[in-house]
Amino acid sequence: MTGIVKKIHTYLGLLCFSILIVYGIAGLLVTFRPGPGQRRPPRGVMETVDFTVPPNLNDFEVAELAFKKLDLPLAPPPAKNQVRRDQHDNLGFRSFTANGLTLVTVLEDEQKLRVERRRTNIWAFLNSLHATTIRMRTTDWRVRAWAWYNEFAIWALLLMGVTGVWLWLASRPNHRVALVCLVVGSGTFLAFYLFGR
Amino acid sequence: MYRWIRSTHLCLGLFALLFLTMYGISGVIISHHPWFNLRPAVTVTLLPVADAIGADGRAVARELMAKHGLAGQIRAVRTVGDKIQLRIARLGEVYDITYPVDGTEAQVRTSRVGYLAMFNRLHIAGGLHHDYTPFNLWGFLVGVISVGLILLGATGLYLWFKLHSERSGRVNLVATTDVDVIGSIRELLDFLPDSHLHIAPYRPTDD
Repeated sequence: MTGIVKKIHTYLGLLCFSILIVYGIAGLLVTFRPGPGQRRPPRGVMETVDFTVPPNLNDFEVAELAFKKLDLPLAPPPAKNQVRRDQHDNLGFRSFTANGLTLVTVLEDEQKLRVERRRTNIWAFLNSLHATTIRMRTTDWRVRAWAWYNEFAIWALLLMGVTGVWLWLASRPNHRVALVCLVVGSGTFLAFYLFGR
Repeated sequence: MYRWIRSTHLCLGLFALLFLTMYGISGVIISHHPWFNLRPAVTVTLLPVADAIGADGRAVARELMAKHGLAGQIRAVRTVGDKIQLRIARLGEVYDITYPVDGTEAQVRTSRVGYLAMFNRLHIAGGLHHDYTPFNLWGFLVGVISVGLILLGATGLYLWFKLHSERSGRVNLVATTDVDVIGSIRELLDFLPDSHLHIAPYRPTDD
């Protein structure tokens, strides 16, 4: 039985190795992230694209057409509550992906789309990847595949904890340093959980 | 080296056990939150405030913290009409405070999360930039566990690689093909002229 548990622990770890590294990097990013007042949003790159609004369409249909015209990679189509008018009464929507934010404004009178792409750095990209869950709206198969891999890794992490404890108890239950680590780590967590709540 | 790496993997795993379990459970909650009831328990109370506070929201917060035991980080102080609104937050409790300027009482709306929702709060909390020291301590621990998770992965990879029965036999990582990697390398080295490399099977001293 221990042999089977060892194989489960080993192969789950190997299958989830890359995403566990992503989780670790995301944790370090949160740790060393500047405070809210010191964060600088990524610089936006502006471009304009020719776009003529067909007649007799409502705002949401126009936004959908603009989205199709731009063919933004990894981005889901805008939801109805994401399509709004700005202070100049121009129609627009935002598109979030792991690569960053894209702001699209429809300049109907000029027959153009103004597109501002705010691309994040690699660390923010990895942080976004770690937060990509199967609840997210997406039509891109790559995002969907990663979301399911993330889902698998979440459950695998829990199972690796259980199998890891099994392997410890089956092989070296009296390992003194390990016992101290368990007590210190668990005690620290419980202290935060109980006193912080 | 193998024994040392194995002990490191064990100790890291046990130290981080509850932290990683929390991250796993909160990951499930975040992915599937309709499965769970995460509504906080909300109570509203009126607490007296000293007359001389005036229009300083931060002073109101500090008075409530000193005299009525509210604890946490002071956030979002703003004036709306003739009222001051602010928030004092810690991991499991949030106090939303409304105080009429020059009034004698502050309305305190306390939201206290349940045990599962507390996992979510711990999951997203982090950073070392806070005014509230326990937030910074937790942020430090998050950094330690993050490094620990990366090291767990690296040591685990090393342990798998060193296991004789895994490495010299079949490699079956993705269950699509079986490849006798070491056998192939041996054949290749035998074929090459003047090969100086000799791959001996690894035998760990303990299991």
